[in-house]
Amino acid sequence: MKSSASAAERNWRVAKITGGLGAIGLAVDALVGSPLGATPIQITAVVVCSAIWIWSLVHRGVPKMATSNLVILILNVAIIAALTSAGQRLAESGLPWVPFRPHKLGAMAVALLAPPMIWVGVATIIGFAGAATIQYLLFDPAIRERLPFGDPLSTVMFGAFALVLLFYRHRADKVEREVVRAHAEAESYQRHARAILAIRDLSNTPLQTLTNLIPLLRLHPQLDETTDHLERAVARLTELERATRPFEQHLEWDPGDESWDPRSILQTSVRQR
Amino acid sequence: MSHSVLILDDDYDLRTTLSDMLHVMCDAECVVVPDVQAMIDAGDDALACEVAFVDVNLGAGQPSGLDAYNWLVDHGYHGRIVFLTGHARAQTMVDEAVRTGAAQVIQKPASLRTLCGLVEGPHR
Repeated sequence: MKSSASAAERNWRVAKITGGLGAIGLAVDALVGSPLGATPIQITAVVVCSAIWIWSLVHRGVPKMATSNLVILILNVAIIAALTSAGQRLAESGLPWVPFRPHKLGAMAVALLAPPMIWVGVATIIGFAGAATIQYLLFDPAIRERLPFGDPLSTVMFGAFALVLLFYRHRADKVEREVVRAHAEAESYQRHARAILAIRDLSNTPLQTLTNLIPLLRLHPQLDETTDHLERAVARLTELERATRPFEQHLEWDPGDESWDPRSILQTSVRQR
Repeated sequence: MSHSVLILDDDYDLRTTLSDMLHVMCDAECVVVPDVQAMIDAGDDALACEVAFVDVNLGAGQPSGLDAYNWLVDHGYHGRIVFLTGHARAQTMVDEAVRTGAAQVIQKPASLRTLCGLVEGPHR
């Protein structure tokens, strides 16, 4: 299993997706969803989002968390400003209009994208829901009377649900990262244990050969001193061998693993470092 | 009375010194083979041994000590089978053989006392 992307990588990915959604979404809204034409703020927001999106796509490397956070916030400020501007024009036009749907969609999108820094997500969701609520409260009473029943409570509820979803996503992502980390650690342990086992397999056969020679050499008293040296050396190597035994306790074996090549295991282990 | 021992190990130095050591120190006559095919070729000489020291890992892509164990059991071997291995018993099949009491595992390096004890001790 591959290890999970770093927080900076995930944050930068969220920034790029936000840029794409903002640029395309606002452009479509300006062209199709604005019967009275796009406002200057909408056009400016499309330009800002497009520019940031293109820059994020051509940018090499992963910026710092703070940079990605700033990019996400700027994009969302531009999006909220554009939606508010478009909403104001529609509200004042007297055209039949269901208010704040893009704001609700925006809040839910932020919750699903779940920026790694949770405060960025919270601030953005509050931005979408708050901007819509404040705008509603600032509408002329005559405009408010024309609007369908439900707001501003439904927008507030969308914001609240988006926040809950955001916290849930963060918790689920954290659990998933911990599982990935645990898998990686287990794999690493298995790899090291197999490498140690390979070393033991390679060294224990010559060690057994030396052990076999000791009683044979003892038959020659004139070699006693030499045999003592050999015996002490073998004892030290045996001690070292015993110290590495615990590593194999949790090794997983598959059928057919009885005949294996310890040298290739060692080479693989070195390559995977 | 001399004992008969089968030694199956792919390492020339080990099987030769083990054979010499068991012969000199434990009065054992050894049938020494480097792989499973050589053991099969030895036939009755291998099956007549009281103890079989069998290395588990006989080289990548080669029949293993477990194949040797299966051949011995299938051919009515009545002696003691000892897996002499570079690492402790961890493989499932070896574990199974040990659990049923059909074999035991000795980890390298084993001492003279351990090896002679197996050769001179009661057999199955």
